[in-house]
This record gives sequence, C-alpha cells and structure tokens, in this order.
Amino acid sequence: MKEQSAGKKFGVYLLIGALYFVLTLPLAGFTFDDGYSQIRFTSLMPMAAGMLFGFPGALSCALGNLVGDIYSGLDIYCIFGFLGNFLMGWLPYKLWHTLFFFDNHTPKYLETSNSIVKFVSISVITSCASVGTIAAGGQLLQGFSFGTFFLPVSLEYYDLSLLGGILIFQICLTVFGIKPRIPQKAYAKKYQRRRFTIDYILAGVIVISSIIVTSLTFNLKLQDSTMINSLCTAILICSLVLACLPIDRGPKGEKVEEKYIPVIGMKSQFVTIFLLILCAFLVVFTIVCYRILSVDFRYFTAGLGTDSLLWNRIIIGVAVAGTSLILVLHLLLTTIERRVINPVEGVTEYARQFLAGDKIDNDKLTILRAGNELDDLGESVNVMTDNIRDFIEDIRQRTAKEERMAVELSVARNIQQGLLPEDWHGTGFDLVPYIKPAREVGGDFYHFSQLDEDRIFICIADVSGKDISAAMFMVQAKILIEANCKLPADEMLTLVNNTLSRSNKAMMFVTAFAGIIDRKNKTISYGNAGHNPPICLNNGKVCWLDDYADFVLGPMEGVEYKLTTMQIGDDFTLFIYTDGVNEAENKDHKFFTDKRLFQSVNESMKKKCSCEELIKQLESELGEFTKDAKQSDDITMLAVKIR
Amino acid sequence: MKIVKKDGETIIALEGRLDTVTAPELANIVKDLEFKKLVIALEKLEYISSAGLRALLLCQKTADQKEALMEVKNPTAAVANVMKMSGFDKVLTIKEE
Repeated sequence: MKEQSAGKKFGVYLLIGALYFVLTLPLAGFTFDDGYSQIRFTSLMPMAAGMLFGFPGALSCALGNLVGDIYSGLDIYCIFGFLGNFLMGWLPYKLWHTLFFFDNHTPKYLETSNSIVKFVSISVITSCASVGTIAAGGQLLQGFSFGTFFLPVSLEYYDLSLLGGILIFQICLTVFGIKPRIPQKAYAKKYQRRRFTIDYILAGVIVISSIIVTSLTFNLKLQDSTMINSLCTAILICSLVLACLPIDRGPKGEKVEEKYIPVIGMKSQFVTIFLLILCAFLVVFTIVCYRILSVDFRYFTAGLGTDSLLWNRIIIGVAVAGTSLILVLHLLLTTIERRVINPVEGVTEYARQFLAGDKIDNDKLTILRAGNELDDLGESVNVMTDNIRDFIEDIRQRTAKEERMAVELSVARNIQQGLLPEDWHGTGFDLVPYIKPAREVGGDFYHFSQLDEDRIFICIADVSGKDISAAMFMVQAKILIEANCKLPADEMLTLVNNTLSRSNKAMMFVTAFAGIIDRKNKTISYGNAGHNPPICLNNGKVCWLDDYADFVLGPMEGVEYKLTTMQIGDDFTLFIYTDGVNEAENKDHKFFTDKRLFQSVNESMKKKCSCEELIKQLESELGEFTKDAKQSDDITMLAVKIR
Repeated sequence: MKIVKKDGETIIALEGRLDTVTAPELANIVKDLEFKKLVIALEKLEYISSAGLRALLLCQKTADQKEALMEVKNPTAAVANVMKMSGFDKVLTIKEE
C-alpha cells in the first residue's frame, strides 16, 4: 500500500517535471536581447507545484527546467537556472507557511481577500529571489547583464503567477481535491512573529536590491562595477539564506497537530470566481496587447531588438494591469466578505451550534451590520431561536405539569377504586366483579352488599363520559346509591335521581341497574334507569332482561321509576355489565356487539360455569377482540349466582 | 353536520357518530343558534354514545330556555335502540316519518 502510494507520488513528480519541460518549448526559438532569457510558460507551474508538494515538487520543476536548458544549449549559467527554478517552487511553499499571517497561525489557503494579497506578496518576493539568483549569476560571471535578464523574466514569472499559477493552485485544491503537503513542523511550535523578522528583512533586501541593480544595468552594456557585483552577491546570498532558514522557529507550544481543512464554502467559491475573472481578463489583455503592439511595431520600427521590446512592453503591461485588477478585486472581495460572506457564515455557524444544542441558553446571534437583507435574517434567526427556547421551556413546563397531573390522577384513581367494594366474601351467593377503566379515572362503578342471610343488593352504573367530571359525578352517585341500597330499587332510584338532578347544570347523567335478589323467597326485584339490559339464567333458560327501561338518573327531577319483581329458580344467575363490553372496539372500530356478548354468556351459563369462569371467559374473548386497539371505554361486569 | 333553516324550523342533520369527540360541537352550535323549533334529523347517524345522549339533553335544555320546541326525527335502528334502552324515548320528542 505504502509502496504503491510512493510510486504514485513519484509519478506525479515525474509528470510535473515533464510538463515543466514541455512548457519551455512553445517560444523556445525566441530569446531576449541578452541572448539568454526566453519566454517560458513554465512560470505557471512552480508556485502551484511547490505549494502542493513542497520540496519534491520544487525539485521536479528545477529538473524540468534543466532538461529544457540542455535542450536549448547547456552552459555554466544553467546551474543558476536550476537553482533559480528550484527557488521558484520552494520559496512559495516555505514562505506561505511562515510569513504573512493576518490572523491565526493555521494552514489556510485561498479563502479570503487577504490570502490573495499574501499570494501576490509571496509571488513578488519569489520572483525577485529566484530570477535574481539567475540574473546575479549571469552578472557575476559576466555572462549577461542583470537588468536585461531580470526585468522580463521576473515580470514574466509574476504575470504568469497572477494569470494562471494562483488559479491552477486553487483548482487543484477545490476541484481535484488534492491535499497539499503541510509542513507540520512549522505549526508544531508556538508562532511568534518576531522570530520571522529576519525573513522579512531578507525579502526586503532582495526586492530592493533587485530593483536598484535593474535600474543600474537595464539597457546598458554589460558592466563590471564593484557596487553592482556586491549587490548581486547580496541578492544571491540573501536568497539562499531565505531558502535555508529553518521553517520551525519559536518556543515549543502545546499545539496539537494542525489538520488540513479542505478549502470549501462560499469564501473559496468567491475567490475562485475572482481568480477566473483575473485569468480571463489577463489572457484577453495579453492577446489584445500583442495584436495592437505588433502591428504598431511593424509600421514604426525595424531592425534588431524589436521583438524583444515588444515582449518587454507586453510583460510590463500585463504586470501593471494584473496588479491593478488584483487591487480592485481585493477591494471588492473585502466588501463582499464584510457584507455577505461573514454574516452568512455567522448565521450558519450559530445555527449549527444551536442545532447541536450548544446555544440553548440565552446566547444571541451577533453579526456586524451588513446593511442588507442579511440583517433581517440575523434578526429573524434571533426571534426564531427565542421562540424555540420559549417552546422548549413551554414543553418542559407542560411535561412537568402533565407528570404532576398523572400523579394526582393516580391518587384519584386509587380513591375511586377504593370506593368500590372488596371481593365478595358473603354467604349464599357466588359473586365476581370486574372493572377495567379506559383512563386513569372512569365513570363506571358497581356496588353490592349483603342485606341479610338471604338477600343481596347488586348495582352497576355508568356515568356519561369518562373524564374527571364523570369521575366526580360517579362518586356522588355511588355514595347516594350505597346509602340507600336497603330501599326497594324503585324508591332508591327515585331518591337518587331527585338528589342528583337538583345540582346538575352540566346535564351529566348516570345509567344504572339495581336490584335485590332474595334466595329464600326466590325473587328478584329490580329497577332499570336507562342501563344496558342484563342477561340472566333462569330455570335453564338464558335471556335478556330487556322488558323495559326508565329514564337515566340525573338530568330531570321527578322521574318515576318502576319496580319489577320476578320469580327465579335455583339455578338463577345474573350477568350485568356496562356498554364498554358490548361496545368494545377492535382496531377496525367494529363493536363487540350484543349478539357476541349474548353468545358468550349463554355458553358459559349453559355449561353451569362459576361466576369466575364466566367473567374469565368473557375477559379473554374481549381481550382477543380488542387486540392492538386502544380501549375506548371503561369495561365493567358483574356476575352473581345463587348458591 | 348540516344545518338548514326552513319554514321557521331549524334542521340539524347528523351523520356518522355522535360520541365524546363530536358531541360537544353539537351542544355548542345549538347554544348559539336562534330558533323557534329545532329538528335534529338522525337518518344518517350510525352510532350514539352516552356523551351523544348528553348532548341531546343539553340541546333540549337550550330549547327549553329559549322557549322553543325540539324534536328528534327518524333515528336509525341502532340509535332508536339506545334511546329506548336509556329511557330517552320517554323524555325527548321522537318523530318517525
């Protein structure tokens, strides 16, 4: 795996070298006046190659150039050419990670307007140092004049870096996603600006010396003065020192290894667009310059040096135009950053943090005024987050309230269930009650009590509704019925109804079946206040007790209730229930129905089942029927049998 | 629920189920209506729960307060059965046509 990637890397370096060589070819036939400098498109590459791949990238460029030199004629100056071309790649890599940090010392690339300025500055220093090295070599060995070589070649490097180098680098990072080599050493230590002052001084010396020597030697025959020679030596030495100074200076910091953050997002997109504009403009500018100037030159001048002059003018023109455009674009980009990108980034970052739950407290989004719609966006975000906070708080309070309610309801449920009689422990009768409320509290209830050895009072009732109001009404009704259970059913119901209806504005009502079974006299006497008809087994026959029903209890005062007395046999069994049984709903909202209820009870009664078996059987049938459905109503049943 | 006013009668035609969910709506609507005679048509009412019965009682109470008449018309078999069972047939004016 490692070897493969090493091989792949080597392939990339080889490709850079080859490309570099190829780029020396197109205008190889043309040389400037000094006979040494050529127009070479190679300058498109070294900055990108160096910043992407570091030392090997720079070396590949230098080797590619060397091959080009060999092709066009090898001489002693090729050593300086090799050195200079190496610096063209190496210096950008080194300077990028050590100088011009406007804010944090982190490996960032072309994302801001300042980073473009940084790129241009480094390109100026590099062009002076690298081309200066070659030119100084030529001057010192008396091969060619510094100025005549330096001016066109260094500007050519500068032009092509602006026109293409910067764009190629950006495209490699953003489009091809190449991960640039980062000198971890440079970031491992605490960055102190003063430790790099020497680099700035060296760079300054190189740039200023280059300009001075150029102005002294341009358009003059090769001359041999001590001052020029010493300045050239200075450029040479300063460039080499600048290249060799260690990349990691400063006290050891606790800094963790800096990771490369891919260049993505709006900032870099804007930078890419601007670089494309810059490139397109300069290409058009160059072509137009060439067309216009070449026509002029053909008419007005003749003789040797014409082409040289033409190209010099074009190169200078492009440098001036490029620099101006960079300044304008920088201004534009700065404005866009301040008015668009930074506010948007602020909002995005705030939203991200809010989403992650970091800013759930009272932090507000603060962005600098942009003077456009983004201000509104910022305010809206603040309003929105405020609302969300309120909602969250609201939900929190509601949940707490609900929990409190649930606790209170469970207490209420206990009280309500406590009102119902305990399991049957009396004599002479077999009796089993069953209740299953649909909610915490319900409206159904039953009551039974042994009046004497042979008589038992039984009652089942259902309050309309199944909420708290139903539960409260139920308690009232239950207490009234219990207190009057010794009365005959008709009198008891009349009394209860009159009491309930006296204070019942809400028109709540309760349906009830109540009766007294007398096993000595073999009778049952009962009254029905609008309740579901019971089912009974009497003398071997199972039937509904649905002969009649009076009005429900509660809404209307003065209703007369009827008492029915029936002779019963030894096998008498009574099953009473509420509408939660026959109207139990399954998941398709179908009812259990009276028919099915009767079938089940009939079967159990015919088999002479005990009350417990009867209730169990019905419970399991209901359970089967209502499987996966939410219980819609309280389910209450009671079975009683003479022993 | 459809409400039609015709010849001094206000007719409310109920459909589907009159239960805990739908019943309060009926009671509230009737409370806000002005009428001399209220007819609640039940031809299309499939099911009535105890909450529904209570809503009918509240309607009757409202009608009494307004000194208006109220009648329940053409209940379906299921609904008529419930009304008979609960004794409501003795309290409400039920008309079959």
